[in-house]
Amino acid sequence: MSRSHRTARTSLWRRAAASPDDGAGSLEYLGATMFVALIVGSLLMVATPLGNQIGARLCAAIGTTCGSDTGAQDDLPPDEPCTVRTDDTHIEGGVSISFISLGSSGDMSVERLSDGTYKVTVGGELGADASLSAGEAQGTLRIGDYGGELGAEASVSGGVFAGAGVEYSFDSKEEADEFTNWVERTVAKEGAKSVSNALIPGSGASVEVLNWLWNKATGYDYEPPAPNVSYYEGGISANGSASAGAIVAGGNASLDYANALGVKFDHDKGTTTVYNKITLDGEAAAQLGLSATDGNWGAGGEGSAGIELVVATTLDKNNQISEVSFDGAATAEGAGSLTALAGIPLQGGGGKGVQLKATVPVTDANRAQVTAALGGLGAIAAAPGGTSMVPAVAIPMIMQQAAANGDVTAQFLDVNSSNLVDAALGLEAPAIGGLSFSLGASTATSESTGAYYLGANGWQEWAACAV
Amino acid sequence: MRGVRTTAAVVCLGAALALAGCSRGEEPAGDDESGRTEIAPEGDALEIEALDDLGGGETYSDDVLSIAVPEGMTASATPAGEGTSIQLRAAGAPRAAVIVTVTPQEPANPDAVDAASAAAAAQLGASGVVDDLERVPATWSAVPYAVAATYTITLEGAEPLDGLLVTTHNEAETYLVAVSTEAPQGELLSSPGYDALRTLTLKD
Repeated sequence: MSRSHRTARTSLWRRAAASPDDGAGSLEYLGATMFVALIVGSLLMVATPLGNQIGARLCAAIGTTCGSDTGAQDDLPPDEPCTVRTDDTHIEGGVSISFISLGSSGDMSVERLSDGTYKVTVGGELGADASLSAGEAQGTLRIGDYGGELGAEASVSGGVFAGAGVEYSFDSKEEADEFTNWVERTVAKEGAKSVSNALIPGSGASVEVLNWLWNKATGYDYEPPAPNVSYYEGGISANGSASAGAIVAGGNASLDYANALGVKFDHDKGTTTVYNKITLDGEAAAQLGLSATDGNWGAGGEGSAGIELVVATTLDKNNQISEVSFDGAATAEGAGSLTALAGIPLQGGGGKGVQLKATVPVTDANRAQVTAALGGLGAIAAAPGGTSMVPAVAIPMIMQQAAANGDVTAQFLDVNSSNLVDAALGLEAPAIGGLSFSLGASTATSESTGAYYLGANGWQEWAACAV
Repeated sequence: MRGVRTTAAVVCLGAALALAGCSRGEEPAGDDESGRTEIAPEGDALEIEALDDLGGGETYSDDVLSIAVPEGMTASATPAGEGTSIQLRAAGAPRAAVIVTVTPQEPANPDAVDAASAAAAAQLGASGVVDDLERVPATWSAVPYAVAATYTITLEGAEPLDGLLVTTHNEAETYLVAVSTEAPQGELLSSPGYDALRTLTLKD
């Protein structure tokens, strides 16, 4: 053995032995960390129901939460544009939805569309990333970004999602299941990290290591796709609306910020959709046949008839209006009045409320008219001296155009006056309306409630969506 | 025991390095190669040179920001939802020269700035009086991150105006701040409004 080699070996052992307290302390800490992380990680990493329960109790024992503590919940809410019937074992009808609660982290909905594709919407805390600091990732469920990237290479400006939720589209159930499985695994892993860190600060990194080793051992190798749609709300949509409105008005007036509900960016189509609540005064409501005295118009009080209207304005890549839709919801008492806006009231709801959607494609032929209507409704910034319609004229005009050139659909569902705005948004923008509103998921409806479209001869049952 | 602990540490460190090595170099899924539209603007950055002041005169200041008021203009602030709208306007002028919109938001980070700027661009486009709108990154030493939108605004019976809207956030990431200015075509960069914009200072 050469002298230099003996020296190296000696040096190594000397370093290991020379400071028994320091070195041993670090190693003991590391060993304990590994042990804790191993226990927690093994319980939560595979996100099994039993593992989740044990993990949840472990988390609760130390006063924290750790992601998923419930299993998947299959349910029956009607979906836009069709109603559904589901049971635990299979799904019938044109569209179905399952809602998955991921505990305190948020919610996820899986929606099968009538064309056979699947849409997964992820909202709540999952849409927001924990901040990166000094290059060290802390809580890296970057569901709004392009995957769970770990490490100092991740840049702050490149990926911290500030929105309300994201949406993914898949061509098959298998692809959707792969993704939702990844979300649940990642939430469980992040939960394990939070538990581990709570027990021994800094030990969360070991959970990541164990997770990586586990995936390698089991051959799990999944890279999540980029979201197809991103949703933003709150101060983001308010600032966008307010600044634009102020510019157009020259600082003399602006949009009613309280009505700015949110904004959706479709990354595939390059479109932007802005959601605004429509507030009508008593006179306009009366003119439209919507009585402000019969309930809490625009306020959604408990136990009384209510109607809410949301207008969604979609702009193309060139920021030109390309589509407008009215999304309304009403309790049973208001269902007839709401659907009458389309020209013919829809009857036969069996005591249920109704969701109405009227979509108008916007072209050069009707853009000026639609712009005037939207300005009158406060959905877009009205130019000074420009033309705008009063709401009592704007709403029927849009409805008439939808009936003539677009689509008008309606379906009965369980709503009450406290969740009408969410119902109006429904699955148009679930991450803004709130996935907690599950269009009847909480009621576990087992029977179809009927979907209809407005045709040339009045309301027609939407056969493609019927059970 | 010491040998076991040492071994465990080596295994852990090795795995961590391997993990880091596996992460490094991986392209994030959904990298923009498929024609996706992202809300973060691309292109050459607009450079905004910060100004300390306008050589005297008044300054508007509140808990969030301060901005110099050009001579001959007055500053007024009005509530805007949960935020504030501040206008700098010349006496008798029909339109404000500078408008600042402050909105509480958490997190008010670069992604929020990108989204708010994109939302504003959509609303400007929807108004029907704004053309030639372009969003680009902005470099401005006074703020952590900014996006600029340039546009032309033409109102009924009026000459077109050049406009600039800059959206940013404060260091504490608690507020979104959008500041805009406009001037007759070709005069924006030499206008008092643009000079005032450049004096904007955000407080933590």
